[in-house]
Amino acid sequence: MTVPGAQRRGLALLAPAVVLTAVVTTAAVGSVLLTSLGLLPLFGPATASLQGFEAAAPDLRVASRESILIATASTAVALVVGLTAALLLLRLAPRRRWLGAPLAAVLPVPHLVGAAAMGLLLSGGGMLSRVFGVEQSTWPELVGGPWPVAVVAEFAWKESAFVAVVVLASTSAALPDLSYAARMLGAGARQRLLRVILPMAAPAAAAASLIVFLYTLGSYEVAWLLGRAYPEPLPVMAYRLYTSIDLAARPQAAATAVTAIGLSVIAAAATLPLIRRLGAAQ
Amino acid sequence: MSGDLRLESVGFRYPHRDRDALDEVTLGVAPAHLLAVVGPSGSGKSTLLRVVAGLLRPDRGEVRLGDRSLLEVAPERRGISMMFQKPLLFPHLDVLDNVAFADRAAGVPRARARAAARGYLDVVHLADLARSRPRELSGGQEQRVALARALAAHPQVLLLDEPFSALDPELRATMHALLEEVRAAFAPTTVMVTHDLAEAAMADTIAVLDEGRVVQHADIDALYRRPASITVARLLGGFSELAGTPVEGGYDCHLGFVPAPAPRAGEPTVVLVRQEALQVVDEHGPHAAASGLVVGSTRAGTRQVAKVELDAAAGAGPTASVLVELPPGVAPPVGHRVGVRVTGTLVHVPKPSADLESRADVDRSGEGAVDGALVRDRQ
Repeated sequence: MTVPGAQRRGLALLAPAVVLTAVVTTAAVGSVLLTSLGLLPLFGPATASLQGFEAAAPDLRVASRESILIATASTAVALVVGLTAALLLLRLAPRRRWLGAPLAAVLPVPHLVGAAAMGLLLSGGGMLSRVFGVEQSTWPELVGGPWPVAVVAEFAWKESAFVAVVVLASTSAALPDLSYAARMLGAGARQRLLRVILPMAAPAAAAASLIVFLYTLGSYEVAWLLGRAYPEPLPVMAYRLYTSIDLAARPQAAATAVTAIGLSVIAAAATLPLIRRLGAAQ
Repeated sequence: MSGDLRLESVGFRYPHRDRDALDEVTLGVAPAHLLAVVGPSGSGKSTLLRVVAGLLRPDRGEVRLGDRSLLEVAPERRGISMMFQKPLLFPHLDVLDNVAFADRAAGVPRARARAAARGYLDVVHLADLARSRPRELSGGQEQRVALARALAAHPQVLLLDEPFSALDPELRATMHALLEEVRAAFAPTTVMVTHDLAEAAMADTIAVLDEGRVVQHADIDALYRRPASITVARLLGGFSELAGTPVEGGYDCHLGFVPAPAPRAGEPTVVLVRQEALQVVDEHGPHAAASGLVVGSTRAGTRQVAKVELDAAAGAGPTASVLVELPPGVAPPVGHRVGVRVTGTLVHVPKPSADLESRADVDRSGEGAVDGALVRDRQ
């Protein structure tokens, strides 16, 4: 198989970043896997065992459920909001790219900053409760409450912008013209949405959703800042165990991280064929 | 399935532009007729189609299909299909589903819509590619599918926005033949924007647009014989422009006397001469209306055109050049002095200042050009 010149040049330009990322990721995953299996102990002899997994097992199930709940809810909201924003921009302002600037401005905001802002907005004494004049005692527990509302809101806010930008980037060149063509074939707004716009946006939206899901599954700082103490999602649990003064908890921390990696791999393996199929259809 | 399409005094200006993209455009296309719209880039051709399609709303004027005003009708309900310069096939659908799109959008069940679509694919000779994806097709095949898809929408009016311009000449000829077949079979009223005058020659009538105005609307023969203005003549090509001086009953130019019905005293004009109307003859022969030096030649297929720089003539100003079409097989006598004879009826004096007054030249009825034309026979 021959690789076209432009593609070869693109690969060459990407290579430094890809190689570095691959080396760091492989080293990190390898090290955490070995630690979880007792093969890279902080002290004592290396002995292969599943003790790290067994010790963390009861919490792992709960944390996995919490992680999946947060990731699924965040991804769903981000997908709906991001896709809607992208389609509205495509429909209302195909030639007014500046209208997309607020979306692009959200992307570089660090999640930590976003989490702090969301805390100030949604907490009992936060801005929203003051705006609505609701007593702190009667304001719902959006931050650190029984449901990870603030966590999902922060992820959804940031990641909806990501979804919108990805969908816009992949469809803005072709969709307006294809939409005109559909219109000239008698398709009304609903038919254009169902038969042209959504199918055309689907591959980008699906790929962006997978990235959002994997990111929210593995990100700890937002849930650590805005979530409740228990149950905690996998990344928060892994971070807590890893920074514990009990060094013997390191294999459990590694086992937790490996579980998060495993869930990510399963999610990617389940979704990638669908994304490929959607992409191949175009 | 075809309708009588009329534009009446249509005007349109894009936001933030200082001039109208369409200005007082009045045109008519009879049912099942083909109107070609030609003009320089930026003259408003594509804007005209988009106004008819409903993708742009005119600032003034009226667009009618039969007795019905289309201005308040959404593009998808106008009964108008449009083929664009790019095929714009839906990449997520196979060829058959692309052609079945209009029926599917109208709520026809998929099996029935696909069955009907097969018939249209047969028309464009692509039945064997029904299951292919658009990315697997060549440029010509894509445009044939786009044509089938447009026809499958059962349009009363078919709009073609330079749909064949990206194809090579052979494919373009194939598409022209296909378009003729389709017109014979379905008889849609058709409006085609094109830069290709050979393509425009397929049309029943041709409208020439310049700066948003229709400067002439006539059949191809009238257009070639009596261009309404120098702009039109330049667009068509093959015309020589000679300065004319008004004299009793006509104008004097480098090729001699040209009669005109009412030459305006003191107002110089331009005499337009088709290259086919001139013949290279012996410089000193009895038929030579003028003489000059062959300074160059161009070839288009088997046709050769010599450029002859005519000698200065009394009352006709300094030297001027004319294009003379040579018979097939005759080598252009570049560097030699020759005589030039006027052999045909393709000598024309456009209305004085036609370009300045082209707005007044517009034929409001849409059926022909108003001009100060005078065609003379100098056999």
